[in-house]
Amino acid sequence: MFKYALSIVLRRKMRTFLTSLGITIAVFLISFIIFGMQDLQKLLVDQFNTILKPNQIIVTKGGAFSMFTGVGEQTYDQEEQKQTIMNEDVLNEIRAFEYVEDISRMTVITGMNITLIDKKVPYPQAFMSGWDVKSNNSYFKEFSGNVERVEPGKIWVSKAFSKFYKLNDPNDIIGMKVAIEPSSSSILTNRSKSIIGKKFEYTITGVYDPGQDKNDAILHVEDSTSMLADLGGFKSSNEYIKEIGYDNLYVTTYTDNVKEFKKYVKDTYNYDTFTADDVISILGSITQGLTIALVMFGLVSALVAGIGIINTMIMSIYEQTKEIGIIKAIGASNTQVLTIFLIQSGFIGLFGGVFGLLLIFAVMKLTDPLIVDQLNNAGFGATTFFNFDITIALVITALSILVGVVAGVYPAIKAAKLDPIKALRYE
Amino acid sequence: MIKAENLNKTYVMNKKVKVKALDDISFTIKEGSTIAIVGPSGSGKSTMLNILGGLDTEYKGSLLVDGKDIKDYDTNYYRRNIVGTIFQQFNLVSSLTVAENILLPITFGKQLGKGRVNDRLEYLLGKLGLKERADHKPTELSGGQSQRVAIARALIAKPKIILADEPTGNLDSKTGGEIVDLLFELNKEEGTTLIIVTHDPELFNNVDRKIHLRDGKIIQE
Ligand SMILES: Nc1ncnc2c1ncn2[C@@H]1O[C@H](COP(=O)(O)OP(=O)(O)O)[C@@H](O)[C@H]1O
Ligand SMILES: [Mg+2]
Repeated sequence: MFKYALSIVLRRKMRTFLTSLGITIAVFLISFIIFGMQDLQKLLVDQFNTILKPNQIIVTKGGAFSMFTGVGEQTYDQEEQKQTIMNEDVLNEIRAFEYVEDISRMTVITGMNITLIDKKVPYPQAFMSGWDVKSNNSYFKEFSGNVERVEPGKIWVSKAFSKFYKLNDPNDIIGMKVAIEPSSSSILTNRSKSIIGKKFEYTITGVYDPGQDKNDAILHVEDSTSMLADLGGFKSSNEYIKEIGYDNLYVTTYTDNVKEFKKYVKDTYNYDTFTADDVISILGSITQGLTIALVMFGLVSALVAGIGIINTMIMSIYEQTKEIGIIKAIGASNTQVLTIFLIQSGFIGLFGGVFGLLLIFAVMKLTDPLIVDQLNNAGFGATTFFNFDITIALVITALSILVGVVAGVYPAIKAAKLDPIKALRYE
Repeated sequence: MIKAENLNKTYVMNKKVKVKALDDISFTIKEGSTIAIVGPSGSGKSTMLNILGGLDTEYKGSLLVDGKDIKDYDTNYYRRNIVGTIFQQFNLVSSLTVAENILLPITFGKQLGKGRVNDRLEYLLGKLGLKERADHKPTELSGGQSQRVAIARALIAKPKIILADEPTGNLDSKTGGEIVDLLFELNKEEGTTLIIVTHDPELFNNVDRKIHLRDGKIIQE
């Protein structure tokens, strides 16, 4: 009986093919989304996991840690608590929190230009910070230089910076000097006498690759606070820290379970925190939203494909009326006729599904190297983008068959109910 | 044995137009006998055969086969295993081979032992001269060959009754004669009851009995 049903499907190859094309398109769309999105998310998650380990937390006053700019919620709160200044007292309190392993301080330097000494043009739109970070921190994708930390009077610069001055080999730029001066625009907006003519010089001891992050130069924290104090007209770094404080703290804990710490920091100081988890969950919801939207497209095309199958199956009843009469006359039951038609429509679904998967497989194989290239140019360490998942492929195949079978139900019932005498007389 | 009592069949076209196709028909047919149902076109022959074949279940009166009302049989079992039907237009499934066509009643029935089915198929193919044609499609066959395939299909499940509705109607007289001879020969061998509908009484002079129909009534025994 199965063979018989199959022979009917194969009799009209062109029509079976055209009808199954609807399913093919739906499957193509849906599997593209699933394979692509899954991997996109995986790639992004991997990327952030290398920058930020699960036990690393960035504590911020809400200032800019450039990697996360724009991420996070902003709500208007009438009774908004004033944020505590991130001064040495706070630092010590946090350091005393039970599972804090290490804290590095970070200041954000804005409105300043950085220029390689003796060059005329400053590096554009530099993002600089003071940060007592170790050179082996996972934040750095790559680090060249023979030091563990940036020392006073020294500076580390990004690969982008050295590339800007066409010094691609880190050894060429290490040992050179940079000058940091207020940018002309910041003088115009600030109009503060204290910043005019200020110029700070540092020697390069390291070149790093911050990956996706924009971070062009890292100074010793104390250098940065004294620079900020000087620029702002404070008497000393100590006064600056007391009045303004650090901008971010980069905390490492002994445990990956950082919920408690985050709550403590929020409740006590009203500081925001960022962890890999936060970023991943934000990324997750973004890709999830996209996935849902695109799956809807896929479902709509599946619906259209289903209607196409219904149409084809009804046509095929008219064509097979006589045949249905014959098989009923020699003893095929209604259930058997129903089954034959469901097998037919199921096969249309199966063909469509398999075509679609083959197509997506081919497209994936062809475009994957291009996408990987693109991603690597953008700084991602990707080796593959698409991952053809056989389990998902099987589920998609099963669903395609299901769409075919469901679409075939109405025509199949119609066929099963045909009166054999009338059907036999049909020409 | 087949026993029909007061069979009545009326086709209702609409409220005004009704056609009385069978008008109070009663008869008995002995097991293993050969019967010709004869009558002009429109006399109700096909209607009667459809009822006998279990295709038409909307009639009045009773029809017993081996003492059991045919309405008490499982319809599909009855069509598959009690009767074998041969049509004027052969009614073969064009996408299936000769062998697959012959095996259709088995395909839809309970699967018998494969070996026995194959023996039966080989036997019928040989008997009907279709050995060389087993893997051909119906479109590659002549009319006479097609009808022989239909006969094999009717016989494959070893039914008790063979029903043939104008089996020679689409064939020339020579081929028709051969088909009739085959039908009788096989009927004798298999011990089935053979009921043939025809409008040409001359073709079936050697049947055990003729039932003449006119306007839905039996006019002469
Ligand atoms: N499905 C039907 N609907 C209405 N009338 C029918 C139908 N089938 C047969 N008839 C009528 O019933 C009568 C008997 O038909 P039928 O049994 O086919 O005769 P025969 O086979 O002897 O030519 C005819 O008058 C025919 O027109
Ligand atoms: Mg007739």
